[in-house]
Amino acid sequence: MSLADAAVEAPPARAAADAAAPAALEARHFTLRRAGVAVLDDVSLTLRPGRTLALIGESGAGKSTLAFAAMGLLQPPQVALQGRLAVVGTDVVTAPERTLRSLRGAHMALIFQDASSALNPCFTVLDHIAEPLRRHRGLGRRQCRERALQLLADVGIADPQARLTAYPHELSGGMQQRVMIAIALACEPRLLIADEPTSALDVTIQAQIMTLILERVAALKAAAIFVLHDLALASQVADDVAVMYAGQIVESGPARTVLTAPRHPYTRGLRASAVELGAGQLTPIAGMVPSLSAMPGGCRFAPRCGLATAQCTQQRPPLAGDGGDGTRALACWHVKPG
Amino acid sequence: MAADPLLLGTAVAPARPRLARLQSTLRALLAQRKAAVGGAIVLLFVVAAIFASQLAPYPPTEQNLADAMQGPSAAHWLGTDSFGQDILSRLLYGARSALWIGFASVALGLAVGVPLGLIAGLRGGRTEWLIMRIVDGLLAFPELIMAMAFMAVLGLGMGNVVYALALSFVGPFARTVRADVLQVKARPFVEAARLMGVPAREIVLRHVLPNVASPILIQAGMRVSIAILLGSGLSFLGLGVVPPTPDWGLMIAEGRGFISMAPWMSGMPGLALALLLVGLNLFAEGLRDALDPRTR
Amino acid sequence: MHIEVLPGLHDLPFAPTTVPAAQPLFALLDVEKSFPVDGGRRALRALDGVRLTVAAGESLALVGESGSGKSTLVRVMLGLEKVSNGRVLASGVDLDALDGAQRRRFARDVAFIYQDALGSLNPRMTVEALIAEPVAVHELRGRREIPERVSGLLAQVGLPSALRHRYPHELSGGQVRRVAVARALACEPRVIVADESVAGLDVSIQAQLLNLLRDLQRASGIALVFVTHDLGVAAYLCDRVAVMYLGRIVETGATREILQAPRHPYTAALMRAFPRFDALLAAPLRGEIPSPADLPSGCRFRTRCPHVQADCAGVDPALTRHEDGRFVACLHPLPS
Repeated sequence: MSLADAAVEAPPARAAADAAAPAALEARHFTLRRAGVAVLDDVSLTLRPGRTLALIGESGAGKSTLAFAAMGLLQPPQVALQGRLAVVGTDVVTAPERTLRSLRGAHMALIFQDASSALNPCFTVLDHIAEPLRRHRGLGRRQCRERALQLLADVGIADPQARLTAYPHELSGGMQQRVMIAIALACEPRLLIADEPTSALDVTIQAQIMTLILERVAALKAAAIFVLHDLALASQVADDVAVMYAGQIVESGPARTVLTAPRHPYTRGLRASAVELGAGQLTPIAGMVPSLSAMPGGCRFAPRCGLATAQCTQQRPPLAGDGGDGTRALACWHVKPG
Repeated sequence: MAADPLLLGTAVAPARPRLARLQSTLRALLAQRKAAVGGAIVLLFVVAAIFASQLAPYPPTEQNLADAMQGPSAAHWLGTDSFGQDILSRLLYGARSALWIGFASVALGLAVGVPLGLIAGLRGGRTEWLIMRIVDGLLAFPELIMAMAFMAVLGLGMGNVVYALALSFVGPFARTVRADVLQVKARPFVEAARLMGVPAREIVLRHVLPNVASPILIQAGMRVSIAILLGSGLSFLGLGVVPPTPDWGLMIAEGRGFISMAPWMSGMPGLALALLLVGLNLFAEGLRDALDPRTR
Repeated sequence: MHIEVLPGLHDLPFAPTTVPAAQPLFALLDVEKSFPVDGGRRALRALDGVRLTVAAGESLALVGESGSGKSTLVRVMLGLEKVSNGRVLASGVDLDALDGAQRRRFARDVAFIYQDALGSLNPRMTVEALIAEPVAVHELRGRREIPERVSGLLAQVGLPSALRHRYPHELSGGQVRRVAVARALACEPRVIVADESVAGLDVSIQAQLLNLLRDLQRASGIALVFVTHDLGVAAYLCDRVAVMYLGRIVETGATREILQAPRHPYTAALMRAFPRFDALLAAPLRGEIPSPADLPSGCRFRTRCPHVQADCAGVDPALTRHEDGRFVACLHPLPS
């Protein structure tokens, strides 16, 4: 059974150029165990440079864990890693901490959900932005200041001069998030990971911040991973999507296609229970996510799936690409392309 | 809308009546090694105190000057003091006064301090202000000093020791209870009860008190060891229990002059005191951990 | 300058389909609520002239972002805060002037579900005790009949009866909220007020809870006032929506009609910003929400309004009624 990844079928000329550049993120049979329990189980996916990927799932699916693991923040002995998880060419499973430290903040950056607790209340905006600049670029004080001003302007903060000396608690939620984005972009990373970057914000501000992130990522020609729980938002912001359930990827492919016409029973269930403006009737998914220590054998979604058969409870379906366009992948015994 | 367990996906355990809850609390308590060890030690002393008359090889006040200041031997397991009294027997009886002083003074301090703190916290306003100023006054004195002053006025003896210590505990209890009450009052479920129209009396009895009770219990547990230490301290200073009553503090005081010749005279009661205090503290900490719902 | 349209009761935002035979459950007349900040030098105008009615049996969503004042509005309606100006009438009687019996009646008629559902449940009481409490307080059943009533309520919210001996911290997030709903139903209220009751839940649990609330509301005829920042949730649950911005209601009307044709630019922006499968990402509004302590002159929305015009800075529009029953606070409402 061949395992296709969520790569995009790029036009031939670009494909050659892209093939030369390392994938922004490449996971091959990546497994992460915490206290013996597989929090991420045999995850495989590919993110090409310049593409955006949304990781969708409910709580406990492992999407934030995957994001943190990609940053190299989850290492033995707290967790046990298996397989391959390469970020901009470096495998975090095997790379030493020193290498990872030089990558973090420089080649890959992370934006947290709650800006108010991710920013240190003792330091000013300038202190925050200058830190990666000093560490990774070796910039001096004046250079840091100039670059910081430019970054604040890039992220749409009015009157950057005044904001440089402000402390996080003096800024609104939206502005704090903009500052986090500025910090993340300071060293022009090749991969930006955003963990629920707008969940804590009002919807009108959410739209602004998302637009901003997409603009900046496009300007840098970087790749981005968004960890989201909002399916509609994912369809609006990402090129590709990977749907996760209980530590596994169950469906992946182009975001709009997968989310507007989902095939995997779980994705369909998510879509049917998601609130939309003017939704007719919400249909929740029966049952509850199993706890990590009591995972069912075989397909993890089988206890809640209307299509489940004996095979489903005994054997875990591998993530297989559909025959058709080769870009969609599905892990189900019963749903096939066609 | 019928309850469909499949829909809700809850594997529900069978109902747990009140007895089972108590059992689970006890189990949680014992699971804490601290509490188990501490509890065992305290239990040891309690048994020693209760059965002192059966366990003691000699009457505690029987003097035998010929055998004075003997070290530990087969006849006297822990030796004798300067009057020839058997130290082991005096230790066993001394446990009685120690434990009695400890628990009785704390109980009395609770009986006065908790209502004061409750009224202050619940009423607020001028009442609270007045009560807290009185409490501040009480708290201004270190406990031992206050107890000493009290004994000087009331005279010596075990009963007065209990009263004196209880008085010095009123301040700390009242203050803690008031702080806990204020904290609980601010929690949403209290406001929710008020919104639902629950009468004030029931809000206090059903919502405030039960949530204040466990912090108080833990505090009280820890106070017992302080009380025993203070009681012994008072006796040591000659301001507590009257000789020849067996009391560890008195025994330590009596042995002071003979440290080089007969260190066991002060040493044995000192060890006993230390052991009991350690046991009490361990138990109180274990109690605190067991009652904290987060660690369950 | 503030355009004053003095409301008679007939001018207030009534649901067009409800014939106001009885007194409305709630009537808010030009309610203002300010908090002093900066040591009293400035005032934070959390509510700045709110007009609203809630009729028996209707479902109303209060939608607003941060600074809109929706949580303050709820607290004022429940009597937890006193208004700085204006009046709050519950079944025709001023909340300030309730006597003892009326106060008890109000406590029974109005049930509130907190945003912090777990915090609103006494951690030392079992589920059974929690749900039984309002029944006992209002003497709605004899002592022997209470356990049966609790069973009925548990079934109504879809919880297995075996949960009755559990404590709140032993329940999942979704179960805790259901207990809160059951407790709200226990006193047989005429209106349930819920504050962000589905925020922070997984999509599937949220859907379960929304279905529960919607079905209950429709079947029982209890009025529902649902406070949320999520327009989608509001639209799913409620037949009527009131959109709030910086302390005032800027538009109110039937949900379906508003979704089809919003008239206030802020409502339109909220809808445009709401993530959808069939639309591109759009940031319809610039800038930040102004602070309620520093309201813009004239129309409070003018600093971010994409359709702002010259006279918007000079006049503060009041909530006015349009012919089809819609209420809009805008000098230049969008065309239908």
